[in-house]
Amino acid sequence: MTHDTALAAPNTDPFSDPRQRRDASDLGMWLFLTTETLFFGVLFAGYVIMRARFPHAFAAAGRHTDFALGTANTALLLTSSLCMALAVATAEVNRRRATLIWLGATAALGIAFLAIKGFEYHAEYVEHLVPALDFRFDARDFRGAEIFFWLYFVMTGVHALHLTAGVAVVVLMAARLARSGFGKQTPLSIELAGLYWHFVDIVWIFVYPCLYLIARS
Amino acid sequence: MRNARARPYVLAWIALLVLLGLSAGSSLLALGTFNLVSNFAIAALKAALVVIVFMHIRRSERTVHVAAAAGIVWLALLIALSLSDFLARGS
Repeated sequence: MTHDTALAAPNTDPFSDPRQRRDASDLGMWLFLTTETLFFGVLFAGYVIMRARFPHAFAAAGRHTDFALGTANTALLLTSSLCMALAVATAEVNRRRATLIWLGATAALGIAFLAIKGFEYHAEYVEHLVPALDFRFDARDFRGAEIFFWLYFVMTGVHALHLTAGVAVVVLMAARLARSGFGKQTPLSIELAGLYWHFVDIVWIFVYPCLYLIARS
Repeated sequence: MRNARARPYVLAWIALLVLLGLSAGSSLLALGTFNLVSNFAIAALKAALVVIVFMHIRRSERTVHVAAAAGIVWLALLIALSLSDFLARGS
């Protein structure tokens, strides 16, 4: 009998129980984040070497980033991680309204971060600090400062792309939850989205001292 | 009542903001090399808080711990070996 039903409706689910599914998904997400660590790691390695090579120019260029906005943005992102953690916690106990509110807050804080970043980019454009776009700097530190701003735009730009993807995922989760409520896999999906969100937050935790805290004293 | 435990997350968030204040504040003081050390020590501490409290790494399987450790080890190798090459050239 069991053989017949197996033929009629083949079981395509590779997992024998939900716990196994959760562990496999968890490991998959962490492996992805490990590759992401090395993806961003190349930029950090380049930063370390160039800062050792051009210490004076990095200090001079570092003073041109916006300390107040960078710090405010760090606070926003840390708060967004709290909201994401609360979304995961409320999803675990199937509290739909609370989960929706926390997902919404997470996405809103992510968007606020991107808006502030855009404002900073504009200010830097006006001040001729964008490499290849009429970059201007004190002749003595020109080369090193240009490298600093290349790294600044690539690191923050790639981070902003990741954050944009995170916002899209969070909005998608919220829309699905609002439309069709909790499915069997919903809490797990939100948990995995949370891991990604926190990772992007960690990247910023290291970008912040690299780009905003040089030579402020 | 289906309750979610919010307390550890809120405490971690407060700690993260205090650490942010510390790193922003200390960078305004002229501490020489200690500025650099404290900035990155604080960043590492913040990252550890996020990984342990928000990402619940202790709830994960041992294989996840290996994956996370591998990322950190390879990154350390990448930076240390590149830097040693650079420093050894003495230019």
